[in-house]
Amino acid sequence: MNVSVAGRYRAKISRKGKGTTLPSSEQKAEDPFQIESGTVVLGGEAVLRNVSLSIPNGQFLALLGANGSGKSTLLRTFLGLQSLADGEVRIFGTPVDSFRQWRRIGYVPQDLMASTAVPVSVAEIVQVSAGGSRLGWRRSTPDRTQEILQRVGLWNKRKDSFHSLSGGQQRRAMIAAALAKNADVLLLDEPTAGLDRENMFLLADILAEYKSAGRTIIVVAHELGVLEPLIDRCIAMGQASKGSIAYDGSPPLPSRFHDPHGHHESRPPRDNTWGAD
Amino acid sequence: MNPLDYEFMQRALLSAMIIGILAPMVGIFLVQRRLALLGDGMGHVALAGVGLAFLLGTQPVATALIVAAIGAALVELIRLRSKSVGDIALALVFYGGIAGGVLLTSLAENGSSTALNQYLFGSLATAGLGDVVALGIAGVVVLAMLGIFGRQMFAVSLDPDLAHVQGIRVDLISLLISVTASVVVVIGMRTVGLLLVAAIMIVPVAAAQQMTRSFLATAGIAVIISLFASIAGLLQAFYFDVPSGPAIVLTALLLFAIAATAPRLVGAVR
Repeated sequence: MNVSVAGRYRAKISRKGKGTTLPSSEQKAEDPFQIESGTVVLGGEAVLRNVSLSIPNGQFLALLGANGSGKSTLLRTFLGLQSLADGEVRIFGTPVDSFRQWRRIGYVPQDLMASTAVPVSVAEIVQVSAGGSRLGWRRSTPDRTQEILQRVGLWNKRKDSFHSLSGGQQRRAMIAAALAKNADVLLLDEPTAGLDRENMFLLADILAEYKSAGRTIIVVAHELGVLEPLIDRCIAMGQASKGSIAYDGSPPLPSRFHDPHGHHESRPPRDNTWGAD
Repeated sequence: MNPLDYEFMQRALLSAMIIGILAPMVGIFLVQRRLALLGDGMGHVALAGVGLAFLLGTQPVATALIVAAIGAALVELIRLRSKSVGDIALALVFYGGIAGGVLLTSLAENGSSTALNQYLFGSLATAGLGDVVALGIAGVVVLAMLGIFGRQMFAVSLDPDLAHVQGIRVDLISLLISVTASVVVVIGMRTVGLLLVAAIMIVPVAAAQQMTRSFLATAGIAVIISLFASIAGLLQAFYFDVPSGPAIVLTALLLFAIAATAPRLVGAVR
């Protein structure tokens, strides 16, 4: 990870040149996520190019962009799930590789990887998440599991296997698992995909509550939908310049940054009736 | 004739019960990680250990344990470096193991195909008291590992990315799962045999998950199925003079077939 000083300097100049805000170094140490001159290469192709960002405490950030624009990669890079070819990621001021306070971070991936192999109940998924990296099998606070599963409307499904649930229910179970950590920061990868209208409002409700507690939220999405009123900042990953930031500012996203094809992707048609625009 | 009147049967029964309890408890993590054939491969690698023990005159189980653990670490290392060549790399390690095992055995003076056979398919009469004690100690170690790290193993098997964000060292826990699986394979080779011990790790889990909705219930029912198959298979071996390993595995497969078809049959009758 040898980034030349000149390279970093240039990166900052160019970011400032675009008129985006780069917080001062005093603030940055407290920021939940910071990425500096981050470059990610996958299969010989740069999917993130020299990206520098800082996400301050309490911000609700939306990462937007078309499929393959690098928004999910950016989210995974924040979490250390994607290693950098160049640059540095810091979580709460600590380089991601030596970060240990994972209790503070909640993550909702798009899908659970091995959900179909051995049956896993909804309660087990929430409990394993609540347990963090603790050793041993002692159950973690059953009351909290109940509270969270009731919040997402899955308490009566707690004994069912995750795989038997509908797509929307599976997503709610995964959101419940992330909430069970009671983390300071919540990262959600396409949380609204596959949710019906009622459940989108439920999600917006839960996130509004989370935000009002002063916590940080990062959402990867195709469009803002019902979440729009909550969002403080939009970052659109580039279409013209792949893997770099095309827009960074307050919502709504200017229409020239909208992905002309992204709206209809993998979404039920009725979702369009209450989209971002 | 009462099987328990014979000392070798008492020892064999104890060994089979220990394996019957442990194997599915570890195998469930392999099934969850979609590495159901890993145990089988570790059996091949352990064979190289047995061959090496014949050649060097060392204790076969201990030598196989070390070789299999190294093999497990090697497999995890390859998987870590490249997921895409994963299954080819596994094949290379596994075939290297079985070829090495047979070759080393043939080089050894006291090694013969009969000596190898009792490790390949298991043998009731040959397990001594020392074997059973070693098995018991290894069993307690594996149980302790599951007690301490089992929840982390579960998290890693469920979703490695989520486990990482929980602060779990995914690479180390993956290694622990593979090494634990290789330990179970090796300690099971005297009763069930290297070629079939992996089946006791996987088949009871496959049978149990036909009727369960949660991970812990699957583990529990798999252990019951596995214990039943182990004891029933051993009794068949005693009464009908067949090898114990195949009898145990075929009993487990029969239970799987019943578990997989019974709900449909019941549904058809209704």
